[in-house]
Amino acid sequence: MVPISIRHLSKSFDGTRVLHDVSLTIAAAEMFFLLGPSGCGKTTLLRHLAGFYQQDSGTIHFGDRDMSGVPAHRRNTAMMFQSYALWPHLSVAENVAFGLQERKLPKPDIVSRVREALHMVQMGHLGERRINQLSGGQQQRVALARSLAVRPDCLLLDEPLSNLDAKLRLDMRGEIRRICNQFGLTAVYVTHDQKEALHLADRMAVMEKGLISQVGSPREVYRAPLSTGVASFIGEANFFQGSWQGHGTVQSPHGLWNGRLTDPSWQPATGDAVVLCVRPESLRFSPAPADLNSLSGTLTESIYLGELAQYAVTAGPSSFRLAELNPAGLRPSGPDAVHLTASPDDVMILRP
Amino acid sequence: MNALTTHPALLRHLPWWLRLHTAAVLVFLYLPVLTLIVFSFSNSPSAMQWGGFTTKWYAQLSENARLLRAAGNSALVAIISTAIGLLLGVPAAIGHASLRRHRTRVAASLLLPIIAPDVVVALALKLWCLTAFALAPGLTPMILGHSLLSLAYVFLLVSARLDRFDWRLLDAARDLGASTTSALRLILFPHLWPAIAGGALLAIGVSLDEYVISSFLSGPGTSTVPIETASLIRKTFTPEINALASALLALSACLAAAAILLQRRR
Repeated sequence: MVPISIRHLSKSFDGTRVLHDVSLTIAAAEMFFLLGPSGCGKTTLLRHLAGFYQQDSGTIHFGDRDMSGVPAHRRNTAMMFQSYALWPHLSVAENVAFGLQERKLPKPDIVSRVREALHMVQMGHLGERRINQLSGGQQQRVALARSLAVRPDCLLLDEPLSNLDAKLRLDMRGEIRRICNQFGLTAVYVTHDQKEALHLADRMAVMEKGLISQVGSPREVYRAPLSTGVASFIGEANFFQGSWQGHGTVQSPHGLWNGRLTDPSWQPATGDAVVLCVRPESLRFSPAPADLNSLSGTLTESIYLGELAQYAVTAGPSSFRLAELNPAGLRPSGPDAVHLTASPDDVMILRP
Repeated sequence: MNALTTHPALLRHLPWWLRLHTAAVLVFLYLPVLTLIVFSFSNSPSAMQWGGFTTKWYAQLSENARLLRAAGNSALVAIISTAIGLLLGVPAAIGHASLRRHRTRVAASLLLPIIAPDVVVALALKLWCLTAFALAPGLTPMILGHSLLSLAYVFLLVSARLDRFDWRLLDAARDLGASTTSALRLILFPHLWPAIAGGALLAIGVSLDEYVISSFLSGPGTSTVPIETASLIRKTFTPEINALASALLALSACLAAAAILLQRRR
């Protein structure tokens, strides 16, 4: 329940920079996501918060407290691991009690807090079980109870759901969100699953190569990505080049397109190269070509996926993906020309 | 998934000639040993002739002062060298697991005493102890020699178990408030202890059995059971030898059984 402030954090391993001057402010009780492709530094940053790594330069503050040089066991954080990291030689209840015993709590308090934590994750009846007698979902619940029992200042989650099957993952997502809200926990959550982030995050930071590319709410990051890297990492995106003509208009190989600039701090000059970005679900078929926001090509792939139909359209040298929600049927692919369009509000203009 | 359904079909329906082969190997291995045990109860002065049942060779064995002194030496050497092997081998295995480079080289050099021919190790130790440290032949150089073997066996078993350890279990412990020392004691040690105990039993067994290194380094009055046994068969070959061998066999069987039981625990 503390705010976290990260200032100019840098770290190298064996001469390779893995974090470059990272600065972030995470509000108390916020659920904050770190996202990015593998190797982007998100897990390294999380491990700095836990105290497993010490930064080369920069600072981390929990509230007013400078955490520089504070070892992992003196930080009141609790981490949930991808592999759960439950101790196989201890029972479920002993796993949950561990942190409380290390904090030298009186025995009766430990017993009641273990019971409370297990109850919270609906594992109250399984306290005496061995870890290897539990399913993956149950193990993840125990890991959550173990983290909550110590009443941490901040909960750190390292891809905690990636080993669960799809259905269970959805259940646990809801569970984690509910519990974090209930306790007003500050949570930092690392994942490469953008769906998970869009579902749960108050705000998120997208990282690339040890740098923070963008920080914002799920809607901001999805609707107004600042770079092509962010746009292609969060959701799917079609990109094509063009040159700026002023007033939201771009001249492209697919004619004139109208859209909106996503970066308010950037104002291109006439003739500047820009990148147009359109999400597959923003594109739709139109019966005839138009003068603005229109491209023509041939339908090369049609896939029916139940809730949506997925199409690939080849137009000149580039290929576009289109997703149609709630499709009644499927358009067959073929050599005939098809025409696509998108409303200007859905066309994002990015720095190349 | 249970073991039966995943058991490969070949192993469930082993061809008859493979079964026969297995049986032949077992007979070849155990027939001499069983014969030896049987003849240790034979009431005949010759070691290989049946003369009715008796336990007198065991009684005679228990009154053989030379042999009892050797047994005392053997036990002393085994216990101290195993203790030294544990003190060096367990930290060595943990240190080795944390290495990022040269892992194979370090492991190979620690295992050298059990890879290299015993004579070479024995000779090297003899030269080193007797010249560099000016140690008289006797129990001290013998203990040092056996410690090298113990170290290697303890290292081998503990390393193998460490390979299956998820180091994030220690991170989780530190994260929840355990200092590094507590995390090692409460999380790593419980994981390692079957291997530590198994390594110790193996080291004791090897030490009790060790002949070459002991005979190179032993001095007057400091012989061990294997040395004494070797000198006994040079003189006479009576069923007392059979009784001695059977007794040693029983001891090693106990050690091996204990080691296997410990390994079976998670």
